Amino acid sequence: MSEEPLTTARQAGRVIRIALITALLLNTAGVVRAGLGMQPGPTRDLLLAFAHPLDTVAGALDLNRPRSSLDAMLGHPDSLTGDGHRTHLEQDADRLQPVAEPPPTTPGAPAANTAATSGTASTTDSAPEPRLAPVGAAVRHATADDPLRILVTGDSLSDFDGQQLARLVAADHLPAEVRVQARNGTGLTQPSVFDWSDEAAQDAAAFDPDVVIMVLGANDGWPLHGADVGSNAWNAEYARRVEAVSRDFIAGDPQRRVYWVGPPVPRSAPWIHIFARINDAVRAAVPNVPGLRYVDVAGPTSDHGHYTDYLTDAAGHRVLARQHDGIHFSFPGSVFPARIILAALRGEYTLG
Amino acid sequence: MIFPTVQFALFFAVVLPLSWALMPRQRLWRPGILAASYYFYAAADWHYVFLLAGSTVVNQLAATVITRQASEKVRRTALIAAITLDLGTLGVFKYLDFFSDSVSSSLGLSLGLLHLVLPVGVSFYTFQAISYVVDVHRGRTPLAKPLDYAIYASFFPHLVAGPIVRASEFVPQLSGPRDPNRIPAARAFGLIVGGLVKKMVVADMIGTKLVEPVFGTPQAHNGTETLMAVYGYAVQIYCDFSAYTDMAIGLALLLGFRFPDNFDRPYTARSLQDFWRRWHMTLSRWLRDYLYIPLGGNRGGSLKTYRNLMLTMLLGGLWHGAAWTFVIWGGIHGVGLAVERAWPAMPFAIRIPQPVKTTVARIVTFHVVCLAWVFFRAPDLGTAFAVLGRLFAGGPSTGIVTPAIVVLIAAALAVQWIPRGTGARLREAFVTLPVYAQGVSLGVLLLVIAAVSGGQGVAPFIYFRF
Repeated sequence: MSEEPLTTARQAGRVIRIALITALLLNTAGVVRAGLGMQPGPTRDLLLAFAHPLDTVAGALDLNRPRSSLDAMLGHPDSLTGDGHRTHLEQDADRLQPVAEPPPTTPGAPAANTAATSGTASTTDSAPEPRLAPVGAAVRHATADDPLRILVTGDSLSDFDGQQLARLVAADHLPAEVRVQARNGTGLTQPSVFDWSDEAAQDAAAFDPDVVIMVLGANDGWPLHGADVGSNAWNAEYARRVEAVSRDFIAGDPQRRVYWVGPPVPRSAPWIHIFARINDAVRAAVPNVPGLRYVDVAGPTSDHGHYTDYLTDAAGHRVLARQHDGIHFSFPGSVFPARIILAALRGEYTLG
Repeated sequence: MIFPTVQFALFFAVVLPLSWALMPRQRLWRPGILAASYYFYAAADWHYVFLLAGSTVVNQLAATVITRQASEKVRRTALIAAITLDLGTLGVFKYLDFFSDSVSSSLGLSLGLLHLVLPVGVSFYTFQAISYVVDVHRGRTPLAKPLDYAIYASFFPHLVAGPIVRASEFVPQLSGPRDPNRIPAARAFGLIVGGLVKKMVVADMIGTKLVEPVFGTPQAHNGTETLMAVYGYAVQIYCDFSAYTDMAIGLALLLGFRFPDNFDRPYTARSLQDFWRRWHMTLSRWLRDYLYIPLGGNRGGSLKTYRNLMLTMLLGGLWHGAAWTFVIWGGIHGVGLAVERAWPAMPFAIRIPQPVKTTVARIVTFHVVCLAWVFFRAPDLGTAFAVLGRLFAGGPSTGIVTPAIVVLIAAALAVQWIPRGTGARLREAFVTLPVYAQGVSLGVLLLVIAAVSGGQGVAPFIYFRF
């Protein structure tokens, strides 16, 4: 220790300041993103008030180029953009309109448009909505040779749910393949941070799932277009985004289904109110998108609508079902939403 | 507030210059650093600030009684009362609901549950508190001034996940202002940047892409993927935990304080005993000095030594959490340590030439540690045995073992073999650079780390849950 090169505190402070300023100037978009992901409060406000204009300047001076180049080199598809562009999820006002079931396609006509691989939204005015099977009809009989392909995705809530669903499928030897792809920290209210519209189109193209299990909502306590969480305007916009993302998942495969799993009942405010409104918005979106299903895990995993840490399984054992944060399920507890999801799937698919 | 975040960068950017500005005026610096530490802790959950403050008051009172009372009976009573309260607090928050629920399930009773959230860092600051009152009672540490003890108990770099610093190591550093002209900044920067790389690039990537899928659904993976996930977790937990304590040590150095080292290339260990001298060293020392030696250590013959080893490791396992997986993790280490101790006297012990013996010992030690990690990582015993059962399974690959993951695991293990002097030489070269070059190079490194980690945010540190 005595042989360590020593400097003064003043010099160390100077080095730190230069390092932070360098990192900030070269990564303003990243700082904006980090700020958007912070809990509301003065620290966040201060950071964003400082970072937004700096990001504009850095963009104009091309200072974000090293970061963009690094992202491209490392193959990160969701590279940061500090140009203030409107995301696909924000742009798709045309998808506000409820879509009635379209007429059958003419024999010999081109197949429904396949999911875009470029990451752009894929439904347009000129491309009719693909015909979907009537709600409730069994869409596919899965077998060991032709298993049901299930993609479980969403925010951090989706991770353990997906893993437990895979365990249930494996334990019961069901003809299904479960792929879990959690995108931690994401939601529908901050598309500039993560655009689920783009992600849905890419996932649909990459995995070609029969069923998408979308578990989302833990990070969505943000205003939408100035409307506060829980207001009618917020609910309408959130429902529209649910519809838009669902269509992006379904585009290209008329038989594909999206099972949208709402967040569970959380322990404390303000999440109790937020999660309830998110579930309401998802429910409201279902009639407008053939192929979209709502899965309610909040009710069945609560104590008569109230939060509970412990749940009782079929064998009568009490399971510590929730994590310390009062939002996420614990790993053992995730079997409860997984069972609910599996039951919902069995209502529409013949497994084995 | 965790270290690799913008929030913490802002916090530290304010606290560091303020701390050095106030340092010459100790009457201002002490409450200032205490307030900063409490603010840091309150950022996680302000409710538990009262628990930390209560723990501080109780242990300082006990230490005062122990110091000022001549009667050994009174001193001992104060010591036992403090330890009981410390362990009681830990027990209530960490084990009560688990115990209550287990009793309810097995006896068909309906015991109430408190649904308490585990306060962040409670295991660490409770252990520090116990070490303080015990050392005061033993006469190894003098009674600290109340404010000094409060700073020691709450000092934000080590508050949440260690290292477990002893009062005898920290409180003397509070005797006067720290010297602003003798800061090992290069070492501090190396520890902080190295910690960021370990956490954000290595641990989180291996954890997300390899370990979580395999431990989540062992049935879906073949033997190769399972084995790589087991090795991967060994790397993940080392990089995750050592990253936090490295950053803690580095931040403390910048503030003028020295913490003991917590890791020393643990996967180069030649035995489990050697491993515990290198892994979470401050916990190992704590378990040795406050549990193993009071139990009798190795002073009562072989059988008692084995018993004491087992008890120490089982309790060390339970310290991590109330679960059979942790008990088995501790049990594997306890049995391993006992076998190591007994091995030379065994009639069938094989005599192997020294170079080969060392290599074999390292390989065996690493794999015993990895075996124990399976239980440590698994959410339940069923998953642990499922993972072990899949080690020899065939079947198709799911593609999660990518070249990048293999390189990361190999590199993280290989780095432990770099000669000791290498870091020092790098630091010497770094300080010869002009100040602006030092700053810019660190800034560019931060950018690269952020880019490589993919901007996906930082996963919680594994040891935050203990």
